[in-house]
Amino acid sequence: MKSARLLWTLPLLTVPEISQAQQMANTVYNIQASGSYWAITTGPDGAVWFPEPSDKIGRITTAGVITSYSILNAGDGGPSGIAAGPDGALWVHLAAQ
Amino acid sequence: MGANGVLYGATAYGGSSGAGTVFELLPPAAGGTWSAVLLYTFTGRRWSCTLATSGYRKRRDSLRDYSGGGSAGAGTVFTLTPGQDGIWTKTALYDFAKTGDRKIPDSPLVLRSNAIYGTAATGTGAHNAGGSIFVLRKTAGGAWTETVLHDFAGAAGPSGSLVIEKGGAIYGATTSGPGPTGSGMVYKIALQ
Repeated sequence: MKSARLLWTLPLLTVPEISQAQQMANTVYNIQASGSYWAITTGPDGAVWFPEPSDKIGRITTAGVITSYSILNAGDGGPSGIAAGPDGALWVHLAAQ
Repeated sequence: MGANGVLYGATAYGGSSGAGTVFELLPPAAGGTWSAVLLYTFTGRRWSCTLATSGYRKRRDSLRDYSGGGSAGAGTVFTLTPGQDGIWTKTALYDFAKTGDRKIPDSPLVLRSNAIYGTAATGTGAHNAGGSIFVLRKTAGGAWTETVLHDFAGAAGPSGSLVIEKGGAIYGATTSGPGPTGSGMVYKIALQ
């Protein structure tokens, strides 16, 4: 088990479209669906962050803008967990490969 | 994570009765090692706990948590509160029913405006295996009631904690889904 500290100097990569997945009494929007998603958290910037299946970290703003960041190197392991630390950084759990 | 870098966790097994424990890990002084302190030992059913961290950051004297178990064996939400003698006491807030309720709460809880948000492993009817999102609210009489915000279709498997936006929208993640690829998703729910 490893962890990685996510820095804030990351480039904008993709901006996928939000689509509606299903509707009951409340409206549910499928923001992204390309594998298994294990965790989600609020970042110190107020955006929502989540590990992506393809060794990336995703970020969505309250306005619905989605960005994917490639932060990992080959062999680092897949990101599976994420949490905001008291140091103002995001910490990412990397599952063993 | 609590104040001063203290970490809180739970085990599904272990303790004197083998039913699981809640513990804290105290950070070391410079160059030292972390030390574990046992806070609570479950008895009876095996308890699979997930700690609710958001509330604990604001209120140091109470540790909210939930697990499988409860009076119906369908899961429960409870608080752990330390006494002056250092002994922690468990108080049940809500026991999930075997019928009617969404059962087996399995995500960290999120506390907002005196409401408790979480996900459960079951939905209802055709969506029984898909999981659900629930909120517990306290009534004027002091009892807590469950409201289902969403039942997932298929085997969605909600995972991890929910994020509650200031405007009230809920974000979450699932490990799988009902589509042909079975893909999970990151979702947003706009409450009506």
